Amino acid sequence: MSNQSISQDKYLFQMMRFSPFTLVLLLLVVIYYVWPSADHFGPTYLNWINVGLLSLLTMMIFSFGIYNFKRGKQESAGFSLRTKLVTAMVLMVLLPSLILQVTANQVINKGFDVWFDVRVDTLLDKAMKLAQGFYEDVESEMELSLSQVVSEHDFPTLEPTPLGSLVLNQYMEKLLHKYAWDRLELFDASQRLVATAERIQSNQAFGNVETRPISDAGRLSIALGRYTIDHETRQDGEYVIGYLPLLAQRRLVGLFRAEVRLPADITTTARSIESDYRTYQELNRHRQGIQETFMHILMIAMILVVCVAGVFALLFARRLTAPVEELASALKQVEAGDFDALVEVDAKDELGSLAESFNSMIGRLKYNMETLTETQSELTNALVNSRQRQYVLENLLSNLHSGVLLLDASGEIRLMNDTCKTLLMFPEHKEDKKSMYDFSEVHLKPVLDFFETLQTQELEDLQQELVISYGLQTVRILARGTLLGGEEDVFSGWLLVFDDVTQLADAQKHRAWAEVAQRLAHEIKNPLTPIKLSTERVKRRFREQVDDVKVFDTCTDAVISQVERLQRLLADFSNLATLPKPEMETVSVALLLQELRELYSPYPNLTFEGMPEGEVCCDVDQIRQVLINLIDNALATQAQVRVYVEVTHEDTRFYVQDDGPGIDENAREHIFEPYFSTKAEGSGLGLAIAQRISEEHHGQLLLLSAASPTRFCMWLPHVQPHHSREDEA
Amino acid sequence: MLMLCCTLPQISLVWAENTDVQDGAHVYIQDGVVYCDVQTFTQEPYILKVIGSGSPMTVVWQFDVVQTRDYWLDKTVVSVRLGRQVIPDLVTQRWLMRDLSGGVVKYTDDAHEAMRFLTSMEHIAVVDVSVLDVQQSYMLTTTSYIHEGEEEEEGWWSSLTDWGEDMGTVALELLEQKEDE
Repeated sequence: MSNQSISQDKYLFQMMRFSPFTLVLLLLVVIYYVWPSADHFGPTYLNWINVGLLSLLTMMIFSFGIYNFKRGKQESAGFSLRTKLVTAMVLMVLLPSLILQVTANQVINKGFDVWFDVRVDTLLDKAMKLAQGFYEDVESEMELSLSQVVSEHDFPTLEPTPLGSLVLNQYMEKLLHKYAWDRLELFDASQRLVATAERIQSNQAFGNVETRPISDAGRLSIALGRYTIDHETRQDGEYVIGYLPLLAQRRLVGLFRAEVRLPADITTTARSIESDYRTYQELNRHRQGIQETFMHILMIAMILVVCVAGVFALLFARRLTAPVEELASALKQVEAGDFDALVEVDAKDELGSLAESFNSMIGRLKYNMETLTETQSELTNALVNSRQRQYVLENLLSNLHSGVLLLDASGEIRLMNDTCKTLLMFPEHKEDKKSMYDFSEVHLKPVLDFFETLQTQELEDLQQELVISYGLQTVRILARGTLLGGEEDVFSGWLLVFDDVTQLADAQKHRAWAEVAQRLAHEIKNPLTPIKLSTERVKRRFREQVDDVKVFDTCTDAVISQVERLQRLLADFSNLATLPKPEMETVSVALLLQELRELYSPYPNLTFEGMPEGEVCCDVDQIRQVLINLIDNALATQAQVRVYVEVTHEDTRFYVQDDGPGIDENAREHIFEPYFSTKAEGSGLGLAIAQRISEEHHGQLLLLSAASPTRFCMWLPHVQPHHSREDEA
Repeated sequence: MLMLCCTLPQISLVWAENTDVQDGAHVYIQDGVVYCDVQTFTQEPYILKVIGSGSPMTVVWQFDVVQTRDYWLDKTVVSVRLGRQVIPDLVTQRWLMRDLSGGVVKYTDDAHEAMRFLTSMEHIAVVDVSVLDVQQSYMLTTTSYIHEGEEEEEGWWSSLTDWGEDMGTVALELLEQKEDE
């Protein structure tokens, strides 16, 4: 799953966390609108049921939201899935319900528009007007009849006609039949019934008449002195009643009450129309409330469906996500390192199979982890031992005076101690060498050649003495190479060991020369003296006796001079062989130069430059001998000679320079070897002795420049190294 | 706030009419009895429409005299409940006006008269002055409960859901007055 998809899921989940609160706000608005209004028509219990259900739903959703929010912060495993499932299932029910609700509302609205159509309204109005017209007609007819009775010429004044007389009875019957009244009653001034005339119906028994009191309309008629019309509804039907007061000289003497019974079928129809009209008007007036009633019923159904769906969704989601949650919890325990977290397998479905696989995986993982832990422990111990050995080896190698270089089969450097770097005089500013083929410096070429010889000739071991010159230093190194391992071994390569044998070689050389000198001195020096003495004796005794004195003198002088030269030569050999140990003392450099200046004062071509301050620790006689030797060699060139000294904190350097023709290449290589001289009279031991003296002072005598101007340098350290007993021995 | 004073032989009644409602109550004392006239104007079109369309209508008026207490709920001293009802007869175009308290029945052929019968109460004796304490504050609250139909109550919950319409509240305070004043 990509990061973008994960972030979208997180965003969706965050939105879902707040969706219950949004829904709560929406439900509160719905509750506000569902709350029964003051002008609500009909019973309000539907409103209250809706309010109750919505409140319950609101509280449930709010509680779920709070629970969801808290669990969401804890990032409980499986909770997101459960929330999604519940939300999806509720939405699956809620959306169709909402659509159904809206559709039903539309249908109800359309239905109401049809029910309360203008034509229905007009029809009912007309029907109502018709019913009212019928009643008005009857009343108008009653009014007309009463007014005609008053205007008739035979209307009884009742003054001459006593109440209850036959004339009056006949008159009432006449009126009853003339105006088609159903009943006519006569009351006296005290409002007592005195006469009654009634139309006998076919199914009515004679004499079955009821006496009814005078109504308010009758009393009003008496008070006003004119007829009034009233309407009464009795058990047997409706009646229109007219009251007509009988006056005699403005005095009330009686009261007629005429009744007309309205046709039952017409009154029934009229009342039905009235009832329908009233119902219709009520409905029309409360159509909004009726619509709300329908809406409330639908809403109750929807809420119940949503509640039931929500509960089922919650139960289903809990049942579905419980194993997932348990799996996730177990995974977290495993992530924390607890491999004993197993999941109970209850179901046989995919989740059960997943739980079994999980348990199996955890078992294998636990076994692997235990094995890994054991291996790690063993490796740790081995590593500790290896490090200890490496530490010992490195300390051993670093304290060795021999240079050690370990190479693998490809020539890569696997190990090299510091002594090796010092012996081979690696440049300090360059990076560490990683391969034998990085030995690109000129002075390391003998080492590289040595390795290539070892490698190309596939020798198991090789030993050579190498001469490495770098700058002013020349060292002799004894290199030994050994082939390590074979093709089947874990490691194959070469071990190169370097030992500095410079001093040893010099010592051997000196010792050899000393033996030669001693033998020469012993074998040659002894006969020379008798030869010289005998030659001088012969010269003194037989000079007078020879014919040619000149030739005799030349021969004897030649013998004597050659013997003397041989004696000097033997003395030099003797000096070289028996050079004493220098007796060190601190000498002023200026004083030493001053002595030499005085000694060579006759030589105008010799100049001593500068008079440096400082002291040098040396055997002054030997050092003076070295300087005299160098100056004599320089003066032999008959050229300009310069002598100057440099004194530093570490050493003192004496320079002797001449502007002579220089030294050729062949002589340069052997110039410090004994018995090598470019002069016919020279013994060839001067520079060898000078170099020997310099080395005895732990310094060096170097030929800095062979070409003109030729320059020699004697370098003497200020601090003399301590000699060990072995060195002295 | 209207302040009126009525002189009695020994005590005076001071009351104030709350005029913050459109429909108002008017209180006065006559022969030691507190009377109240009350009328609603806001409901007249609605009531006229209902009874004109043939539907019965019932209006119940409730007059409550409560003792004002600053630290607890007000305590009701007197509660008078009166009802009036109009039953239309559209066919004969008459309206039966019935006083539910006294049982008086009367017909009228004028819908406006029937409407005024329901929307106004005049000269209603609420409480006798002797019942009230001197130097004690009272409140007279008038409430109307208007509903369609002939039945006055719908159920026990109607008191919870139908809070009525406040027709005005009047503050009552009896002041003892010396005879020489």
